Amino acid sequence: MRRKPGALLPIEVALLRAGVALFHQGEPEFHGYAIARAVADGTESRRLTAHGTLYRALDRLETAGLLESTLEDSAIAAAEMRPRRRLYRITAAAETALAAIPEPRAAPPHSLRKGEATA
Amino acid sequence: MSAIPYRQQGFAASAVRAWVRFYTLGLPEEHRERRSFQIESDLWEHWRDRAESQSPPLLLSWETTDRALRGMAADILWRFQLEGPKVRIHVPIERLAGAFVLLLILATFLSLSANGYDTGREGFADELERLASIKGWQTDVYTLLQVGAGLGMILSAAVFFLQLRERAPATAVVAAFLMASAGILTMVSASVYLSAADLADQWAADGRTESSLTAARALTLMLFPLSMAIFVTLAGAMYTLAVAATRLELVKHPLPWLAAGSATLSLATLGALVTQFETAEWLLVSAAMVSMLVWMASTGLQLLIGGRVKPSKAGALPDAISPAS
Repeated sequence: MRRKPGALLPIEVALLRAGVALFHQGEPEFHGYAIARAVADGTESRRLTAHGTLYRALDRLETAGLLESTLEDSAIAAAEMRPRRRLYRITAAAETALAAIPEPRAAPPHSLRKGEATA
Repeated sequence: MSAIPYRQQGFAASAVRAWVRFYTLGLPEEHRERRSFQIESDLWEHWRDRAESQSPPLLLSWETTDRALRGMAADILWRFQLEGPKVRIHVPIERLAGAFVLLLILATFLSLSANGYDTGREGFADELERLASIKGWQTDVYTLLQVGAGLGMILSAAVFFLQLRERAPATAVVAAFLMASAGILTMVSASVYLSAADLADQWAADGRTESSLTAARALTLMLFPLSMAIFVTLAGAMYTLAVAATRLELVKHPLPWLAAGSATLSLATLGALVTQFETAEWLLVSAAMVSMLVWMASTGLQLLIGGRVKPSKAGALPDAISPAS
């Protein structure tokens, strides 16, 4: 079945909600694993989103203008001796899109650890 | 921190990296790099997260594998959506062709080694005794290897046809036809050998009857002309490829003199066969084969290591071209 243009899939909504939650916790930018962890923490199974599902959804959200991304400065990654991160940021369009979607009745609280997203 | 150092996270992370390389194969560099960065960063952050929480290494491997497996369908869909309905996978056909030429060396030995029985009426009983003493599994393995060699030749024919069809269609057809014929003949030779081996077992089991001996001798007599036919078709295919390799500059050192020398020796072998000059016959066929195998090894390695070939200065090969010219 073809999805309606502009309609968001449940995984996309979950990613955006987790991104907004991170934003409100003072983490305006987040990388792929951080958002997967945030989504997992908000579920009962705490199962991390699959690689393919996660990055395909993030790419789609970026194409739709609901996320923006930049590749981290290589000097920062080199200084911390780790691979470069692609850092995502929620756009205003995402907040508008989320506002149009009713909140789930018993949404579990996101138990996000501060500082894990872009630390 | 976890006991597993980063980069040595084990098989799971390596498998994920290999999978990413596979499904992004042939994509423009920007897309490959983007996905590769995403996954590499994810693997690292995942490792660090689990290391900080002192999780057992097995949990990290399990979670990595689980995430990769669950995401495979999405990875493939992502690839399709990125390219639209036309997916372009750039297969390194020259490297593949090189690998096949090297494999053909092995196939040549396998396909020709079935020959070599003393088919004379007097000494054949001893030969059959020897054949019957070979264990069943050994016969099966040898037959399977021969069938594999035959299939390898047919696959090689397809690879060379694909590689040469645009630049030299006539050469592509001749080389592919000869190579596929060698493959089919090799498989026929394998089935003849298997039948002879079965008859030898039967002959040993039912009291060494004359009828079994005669039938087995007829089959082994077939192996010599079959081997010759395989050699001729395979050599023809190789000489055709030698012409193409030289004219189209498929490799840096095509060694045309070696292929030409081998072709001359093969023709001289035919002359020795006609005149029944047996000593020269074996000497010539051996020299022809050795020079052909050396050419195959050289060209195969150059294609395999050299990868993509440079564009031909000579342009397309003329359609009318003879294998040993």
